[in-house]
Amino acid sequence: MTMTWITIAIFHLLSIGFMGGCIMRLNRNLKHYQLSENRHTMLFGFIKIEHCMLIYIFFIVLYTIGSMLFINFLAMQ
Amino acid sequence: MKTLDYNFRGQMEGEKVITFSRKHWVALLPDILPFALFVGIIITMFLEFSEIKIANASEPLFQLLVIMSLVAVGVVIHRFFLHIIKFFLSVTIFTNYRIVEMKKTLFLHDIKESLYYNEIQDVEYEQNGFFKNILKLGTICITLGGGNDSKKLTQIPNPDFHFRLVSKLKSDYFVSISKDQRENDRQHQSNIVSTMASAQRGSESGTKTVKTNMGDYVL
Repeated sequence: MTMTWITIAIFHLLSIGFMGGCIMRLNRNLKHYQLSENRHTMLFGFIKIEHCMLIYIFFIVLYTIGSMLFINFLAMQ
Repeated sequence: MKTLDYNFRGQMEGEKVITFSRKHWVALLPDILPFALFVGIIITMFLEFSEIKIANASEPLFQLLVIMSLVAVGVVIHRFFLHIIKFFLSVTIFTNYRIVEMKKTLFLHDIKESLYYNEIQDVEYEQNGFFKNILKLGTICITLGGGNDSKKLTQIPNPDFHFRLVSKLKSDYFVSISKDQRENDRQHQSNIVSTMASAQRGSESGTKTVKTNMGDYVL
């Protein structure tokens, strides 16, 4: 089970790093180029890209915690 | 040409962004629906966690399967959000000079196409079908002058507005061009008049040739 733990830990580090890289790159892009949003340009008329980024962070954190719990559950079996 | 890069990279001096558009959210449905289904399955599995009985969790093949499935879940989540980011970064910008279509992803693609109003011959829009009319999305087809080339902006929200906008911007562009032309002509005429006047004054004092930016006037 130790090998599984290590592999998953490395994968999560990569995953969180990738998400951080995406958000930083996107943030730089958004700061440089400002366009005023309206309800026709937002997703479903009300979701901005910043909201999507928050949901992205939430999902990745949830995924990390969830998979750790899952492996812990398997280890206890 | 000097660039400002204020609203987007490659924005020219004097170029104002009138509005911009993204694709309709319907374009994201092929990503959102499977992802919602996937999240639903994951949540259901998580809720039924305690019911699951695993015979031998220490078996290497089983552990490999677990790792692979967890990696797959991670890849699906990242892929979905990269598609969302692509949706937000790909925009069509309508300025007073041109239409700029940007197709951009975070790491792989960065494509820009611009269409100047003087190249546009005809604009039409299509909004066919029940769902397209209910959800207000359609295609704007721009025919370019001097050939059969055309440019299609697909899945545009509120196509009627964008159709009227492109038509108005096109006519405004030609009005401003002709106004500039008239202004240049007037400037040119007043230059000639002032040159002639100064030449006349010069000839009274004995000078014969006057150098102007339009050429030398020999009197």
